[in-house]
Amino acid sequence: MKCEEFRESLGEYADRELSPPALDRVREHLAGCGSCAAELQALERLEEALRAVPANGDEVRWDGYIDRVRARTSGSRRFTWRALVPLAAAVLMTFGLARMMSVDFPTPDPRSLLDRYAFADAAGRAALEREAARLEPEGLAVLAAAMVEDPDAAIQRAAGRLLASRADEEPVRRLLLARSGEASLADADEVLIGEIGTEPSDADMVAPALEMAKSSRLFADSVRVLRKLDRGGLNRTAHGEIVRRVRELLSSDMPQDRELGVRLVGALEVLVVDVVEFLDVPDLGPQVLDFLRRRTSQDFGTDKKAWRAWFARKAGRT
Amino acid sequence: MDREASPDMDADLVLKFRNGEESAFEDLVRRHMRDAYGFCLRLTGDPAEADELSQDGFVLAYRHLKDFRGESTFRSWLFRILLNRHRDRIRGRRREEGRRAGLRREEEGRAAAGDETGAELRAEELAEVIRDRVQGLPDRQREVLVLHVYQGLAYREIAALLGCTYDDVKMNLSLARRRLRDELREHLS
Repeated sequence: MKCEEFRESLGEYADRELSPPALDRVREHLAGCGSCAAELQALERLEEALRAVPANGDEVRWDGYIDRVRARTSGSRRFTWRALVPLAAAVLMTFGLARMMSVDFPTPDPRSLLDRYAFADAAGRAALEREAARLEPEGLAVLAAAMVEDPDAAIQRAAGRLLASRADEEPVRRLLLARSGEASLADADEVLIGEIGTEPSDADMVAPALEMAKSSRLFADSVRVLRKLDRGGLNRTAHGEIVRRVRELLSSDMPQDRELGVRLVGALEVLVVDVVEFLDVPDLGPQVLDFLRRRTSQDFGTDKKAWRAWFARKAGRT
Repeated sequence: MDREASPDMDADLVLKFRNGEESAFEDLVRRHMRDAYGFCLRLTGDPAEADELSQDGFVLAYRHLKDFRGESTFRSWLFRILLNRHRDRIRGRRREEGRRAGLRREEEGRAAAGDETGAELRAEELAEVIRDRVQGLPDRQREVLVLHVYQGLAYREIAALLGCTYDDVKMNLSLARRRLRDELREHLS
């Protein structure tokens, strides 16, 4: 094994994270390699310096700390509900009562659903999403209100994801999109649409968002949601899911899927090189060429080889 | 805090609280407030913010304690709440802060190169520089570093808490250390 490979394990070695056999291998290597031993020493020096730094200031009034927590916990729930009522009512008006459903099961309490969903594990969430499928418009309106107004981001996210689990329904789509529209007007970092995309599990929202993209009327809003979900290296799960699904669309046998794929590539700026392949496809070529020109400020016409060579050169430079 | 003995006592207090004993939550706050505050202080670098953030965390814990399943320790669960809350708070301020920190580092870099190159810093000044560099780390790297170095969590515990893999923790810790070593090179030699 080379020094480089050992060096990758030095942090784990110093942190006592290695299994005994791996620990022995690194220890053995260190005994005979001055350069790696020096690297370990530097790491340990840094660790020592970090640990020696006290936190900045410690002037908390501990005597009043619990009182302050108590004062805040005694009123927190009542305040949340009061704040939500007007908005929930407004959303309900928008929604109308048209989708009143006749169900055989009792309708779940949306607030309890949210509380449970926010801290449930994956299996628990799946069960709760099934419960959410029985929510009536009033319940959905409570979710929408919580998504925007709740002071707790975990609840906001739970509301967003529960709504996303029903994103294939037109009224829910409208609700989601109304919220994404508000987000673009308000401070986008303070509302839900700014929150999503940071957790690996947010990748679950990619599929409903892509479903929305299939409607040309909803395309722009869908792209806004997908852009929030696509945080590149910050959330490789969601980014990977978007790339995978767009690639599926590009390689589909259905012309409308390929066209949607190309539009998404243009809007999301993923898989840019992949669309070169479609330059000579009659129904897609002009659209692809237009996108490539705008994206790169280059123009190689329909010469696929020239485009690929340009992208390769560019990749080599960065 | 006696961490060895605490998880059982915490579980006991959680159970009491869920059975209606409000004072059990205050005992939980009392047991964890210094730890939580210290963690928040390392994350934010600001005592007032740390105070507010740690209290936010307890308020949220209070609201959701009935849903806590005990699959992790109360401490890990609380840290997770604190981290999420911290992320919420910094989002929106992130770009501006990053820009300012970048400018500050550039200015400091120029000042150091100009007149004090190689000069030994006093311990307090060095501590300030290190705190500043830790604050300047990308969010995920700072979170992993603080959880490991200052809160003493193992890689797997951090992975569970952050909802990422062991390798993500290892990578982020390694990147944080590499960056800090580069930035603190002249002070640590």
